[in-house]
Amino acid sequence: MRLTLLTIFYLISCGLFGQSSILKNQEFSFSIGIGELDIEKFSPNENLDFINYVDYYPEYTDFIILKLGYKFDLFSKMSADIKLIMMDDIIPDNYDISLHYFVRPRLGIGIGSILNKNWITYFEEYQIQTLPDYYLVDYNVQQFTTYDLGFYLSPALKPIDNDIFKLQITCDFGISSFMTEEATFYHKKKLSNERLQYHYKTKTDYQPYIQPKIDIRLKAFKIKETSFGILLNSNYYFSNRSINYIRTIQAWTSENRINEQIEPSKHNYSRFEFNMGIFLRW
Amino acid sequence: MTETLINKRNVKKIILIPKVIIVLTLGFGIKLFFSCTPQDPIEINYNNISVIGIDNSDMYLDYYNTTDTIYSDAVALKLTLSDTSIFYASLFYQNLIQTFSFQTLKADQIDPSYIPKNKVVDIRVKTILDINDSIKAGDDISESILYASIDNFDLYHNLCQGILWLNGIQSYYERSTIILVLKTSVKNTNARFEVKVTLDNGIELIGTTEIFTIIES
Repeated sequence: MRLTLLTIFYLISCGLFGQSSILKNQEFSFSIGIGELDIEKFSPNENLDFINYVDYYPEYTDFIILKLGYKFDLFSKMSADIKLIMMDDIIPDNYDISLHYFVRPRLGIGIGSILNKNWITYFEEYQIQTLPDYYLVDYNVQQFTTYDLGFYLSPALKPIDNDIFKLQITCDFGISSFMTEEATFYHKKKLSNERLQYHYKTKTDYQPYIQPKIDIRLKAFKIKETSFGILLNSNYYFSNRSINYIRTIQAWTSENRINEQIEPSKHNYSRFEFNMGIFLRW
Repeated sequence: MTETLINKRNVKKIILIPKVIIVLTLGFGIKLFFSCTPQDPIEINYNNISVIGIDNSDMYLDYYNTTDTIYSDAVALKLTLSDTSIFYASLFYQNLIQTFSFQTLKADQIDPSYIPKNKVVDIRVKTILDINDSIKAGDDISESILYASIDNFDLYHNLCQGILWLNGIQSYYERSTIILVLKTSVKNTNARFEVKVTLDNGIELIGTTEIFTIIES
């Protein structure tokens, strides 16, 4: 992921400071917005379901989003869009990169990749609830900072595209997967010598998603060759998601090992984002 | 004349200075050499065995306290092998090294470490009282015994791991301790165990616990 971010920074640097003849209609944007998660939660059952523990707050805004964007046209029919996305920790470790080829002036097809960060927290509660006869030896809160990596195919439509006002609608059809994470729980049976160890290792498992996006740009004024304006963009991600994993239970000693492949039920998982900001184009 | 004698004495003094510096440098070098010499572990001979009961009913093993009342599913024994002989001879070499070294040069006080000369080759555990209907007094229960490391974030291990620990270098003390836990539930109101440790020189150290009162888990 570090390599990806470095590549993005390199591309932006080349575009901003380089005298490239390939890159045209370059645009830098900054926007701020909100993100809302909506995740279907299930009652605890015999298997730990990590999606049940994804951080989200139905009553509040789930996260603040800052986006740094860099957009440019390549050759005559291609357009690249690079967005570095930060949440309230101000770490640019999310992105959305796409490259579109416009077969017609207003109709194009593109490919892209996204990386979204999620926090999965307090899942040790499942262990405490389901094993009441056992102590959980480590009571510290468990948290995964898990990244959801996706790749998509994206038809694009530009119903309005003039010097003042630009409207682009895209719909990403893609697959994404949470990156692997591991967690270990040690248990000790009350009034007994028995010790248990639960080890969870999540699996990479790409699952389909859909994400319509709308992007509006309105030019406000122009100074020499540089245009300034405001932008609005919004997107809605929807998928049926599960985090599959391998569970290893060891009782007493490490020789007694039971491995199980667990595939929890799929949850409706959606995320709505709305951003507004400014851009400068040259 | 007097002036010539004084000059001669001064010349002799000047000639002596390099010799003194060489002697001091040599002495300093020797002390520096021994200061930087790491201490080898002191060899000990296990000649004493102690087996006591400890409480393992709670979340963490109560490593430092002895108990005579144990839950039926939480029987845990603390086995300690030690060298009770006076080991001045072993320490003599260490003291000698210390005499010839700069104590103040050490960044930290290094506690001595110990290593058993005769290694443990086997541990057998026998019950002296009936445990349940199938395990009777006098039966060997070594197969039902596991070794517990002090780390509570760990599972148990077989007795071979415990033997490895006993045979390894021991820090701070001239003794080594491991915890043994019983996998089987005790269905008697009392329990008592005998632990036999065999060393590679053929010596057998046998320790017997006190009679434990068993309460149901």
